[in-house]
Amino acid sequence: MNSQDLQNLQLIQIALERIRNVERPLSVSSVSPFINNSTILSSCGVLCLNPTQESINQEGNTQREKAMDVNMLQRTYSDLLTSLFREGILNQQFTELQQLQDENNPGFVYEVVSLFFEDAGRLINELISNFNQQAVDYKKIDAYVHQLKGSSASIGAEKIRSVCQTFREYYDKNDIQGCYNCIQPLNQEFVTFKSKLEALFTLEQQIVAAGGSIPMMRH
Amino acid sequence: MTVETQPQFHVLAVDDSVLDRKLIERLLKTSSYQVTTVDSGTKALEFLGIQDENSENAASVSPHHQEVEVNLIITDYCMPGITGYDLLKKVKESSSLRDIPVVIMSSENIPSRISRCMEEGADEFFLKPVQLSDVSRLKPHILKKSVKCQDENQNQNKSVTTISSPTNNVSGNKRKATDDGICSERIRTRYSAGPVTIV
Repeated sequence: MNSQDLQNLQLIQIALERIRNVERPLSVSSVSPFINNSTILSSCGVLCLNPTQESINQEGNTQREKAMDVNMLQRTYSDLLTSLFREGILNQQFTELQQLQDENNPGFVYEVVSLFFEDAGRLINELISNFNQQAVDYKKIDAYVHQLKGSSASIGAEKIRSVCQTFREYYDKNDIQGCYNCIQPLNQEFVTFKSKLEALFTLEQQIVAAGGSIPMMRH
Repeated sequence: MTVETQPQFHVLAVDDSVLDRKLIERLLKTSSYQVTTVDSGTKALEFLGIQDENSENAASVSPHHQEVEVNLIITDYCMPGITGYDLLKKVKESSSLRDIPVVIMSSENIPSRISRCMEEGADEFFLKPVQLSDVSRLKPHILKKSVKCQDENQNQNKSVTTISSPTNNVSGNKRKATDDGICSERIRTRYSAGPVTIV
C-alpha cells in the first residue's frame, strides 16, 4: 500500500467514524411539531451528507452542522409551542409562567409542570376509580375535579381546565350522565398535554445541549 | 462595603396546593419579597404566634416566631381545616396582628364570598391564577400599614375594597353561588414537601 492509499484509507476511516456518530439520520421534513417519540426527537438535526467531502472540510462543517442543529431545534420548538396555543392546549397563564423563569430560576416551568403531571395524574386516577365504585360518591368526585380545575388553571392547561369546568356545570345541574361523559375526555386531554409538554421540554434540553438559547415567544 | 438597599418585606403565603404554593412563592420573590409558605391555616397561625384552639398542638409559642415580622398575609380561601376566611378572622381578632394586611385568593368568583371577606377586613381579593400584575398591587397595602404604625395617633381609613380579575382569558368562570362561602369538601393528600419553608 502506498502513502496515497494510506491517506485515502485514513480519510475513509474518519468518514466512517462520523457516520457512526450519527444516531439516526433523518430528513428535515420528517421532524414535525407533533412528534411524541422522544427517540426521534433526540436525534433530529445531524444529516450526513457527502462523507468524503465532509471529512476534508471537517472543522468548518462541524460548526455549520451545529448551527443547523440548533436552528432546526429552535424552529421545531417554536412551531410546537405556537401550535399548543393555537389548539387551545395552553393559554396565557403558561406565558406568565415562562416570564417567571429566568437565569436564576432556569427550571421553574419544568418544576411546576412536573408537579402538575403528578398531581393531575393522581386526581384522574382517583376520578376513574371512584366512578367505577358500586356507590359513586359524587361529592368526592366534584372535590377532585375542583382541585384539578385549580391546578390546570394555575399552569395554563386550558383544555383540561375547560373540561373540568364542563364537568362542574353538569354536577351543578345533577346531570350524572353529563359528568360521566367528561371523564374519558379529561383523561385524553391529560395524556395529550403530558406528551406534548414532555416533547417541549426535551427540545429545550437539546437546544441548550447544542449551545443554543430557548426562543422567547409572544402570544 | 454593602449599600443598604430597600428593606425587604416579608410575606406569609398560605395554600394547601403545593403547585399554587410554588407559584405564589415565585411571584412574590420575583417581586422582591421575602417569602414563607405554609400549607394550612393552622400552620399559619402557629407561625404568627396565635394559638389555634382547634389545634391539637399545645406547645407554647416559640419566641423565635415573634421576631419574624410579617408584613402581609396572602391566603387561599378554600383549604381543608381552617379556611382562609377563618384565618382572616383570627388575624383581625388578634390585637398584635390585626394591622397586618390580608389578601384572599380564590379560584371561584362568588360575589357573596368576596364581600364577606372584604367586610371581615381583607385588603384585596385575588382571583386565581394569581399573576404578577396582582402581586404589584400589594405594596401600597404594606406601606400604608407601616405608615400607620409610625403614626399611631392618627385614625386612618384602612378599608380598600378593590377586587382584581385575572387578565387571561378565563371566560364564564362564574358558578352558581350555591354556598355562602362554604367550600366544597376538600380531600387532598398532602405531599411531603416540608409544610413550612422559609426562604
